[in-house]
Amino acid sequence: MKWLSKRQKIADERMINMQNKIYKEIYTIVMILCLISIVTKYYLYGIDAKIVTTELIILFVSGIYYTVRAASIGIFSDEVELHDRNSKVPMSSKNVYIGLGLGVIIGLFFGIRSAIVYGSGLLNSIFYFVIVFFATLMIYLPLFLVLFAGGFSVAKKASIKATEKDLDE
Amino acid sequence: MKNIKLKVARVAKDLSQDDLAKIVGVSRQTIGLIEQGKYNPSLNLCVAICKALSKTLDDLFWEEDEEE
Repeated sequence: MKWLSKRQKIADERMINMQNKIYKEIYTIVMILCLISIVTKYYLYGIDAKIVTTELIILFVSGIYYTVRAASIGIFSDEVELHDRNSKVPMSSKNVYIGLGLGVIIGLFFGIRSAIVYGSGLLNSIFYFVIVFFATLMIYLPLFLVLFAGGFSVAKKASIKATEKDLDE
Repeated sequence: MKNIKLKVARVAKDLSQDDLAKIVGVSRQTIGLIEQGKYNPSLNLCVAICKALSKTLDDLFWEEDEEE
């Protein structure tokens, strides 16, 4: 009764691969369009986070969705493994550096801005810069470290767990 | 279906999953999933694995039909 058994349909791999390639390109196009939209809106209407909420949601949600999905099916840790094999700096260290770097950049930005806007005279400007720089650093440095290094570590752990479950079954 | 032939050939060469993964340039989990029959590798990856283990595609990836 072999003819009764369901024959497994073979999908055209080449077509699926090509379609996935197109979807990947569409994703890049959408991201670029969002960035162009943010820049254009800022240029036309001035810097205001409210007017670019939709674009920011699209950018962040797609990034978070990728990380969550990659961690849940276990390819996130595979990506880290392949990256660490080929790179001298491990991805975990890179995330710490990015967190630190962003914290310092934001600190410098707010520090310099305060020095220019509120400072009167050289010493006073330096005083404002130092105060604001360190205050910003104290707030944003831990925040970025938790976001980047912490998020990375959680995603990696979840991914390893998912892979182990896959391999154990 | 589990790929026992691949596992046997790998162990015969005294390679761990990690060693084989490094040779062919994939993650250890990918090798693990191929051995468990949970991932269908591309022909390129099959050939790379065969070369790394000094085997042919027939040796590692050909399955005889049960009815035959």
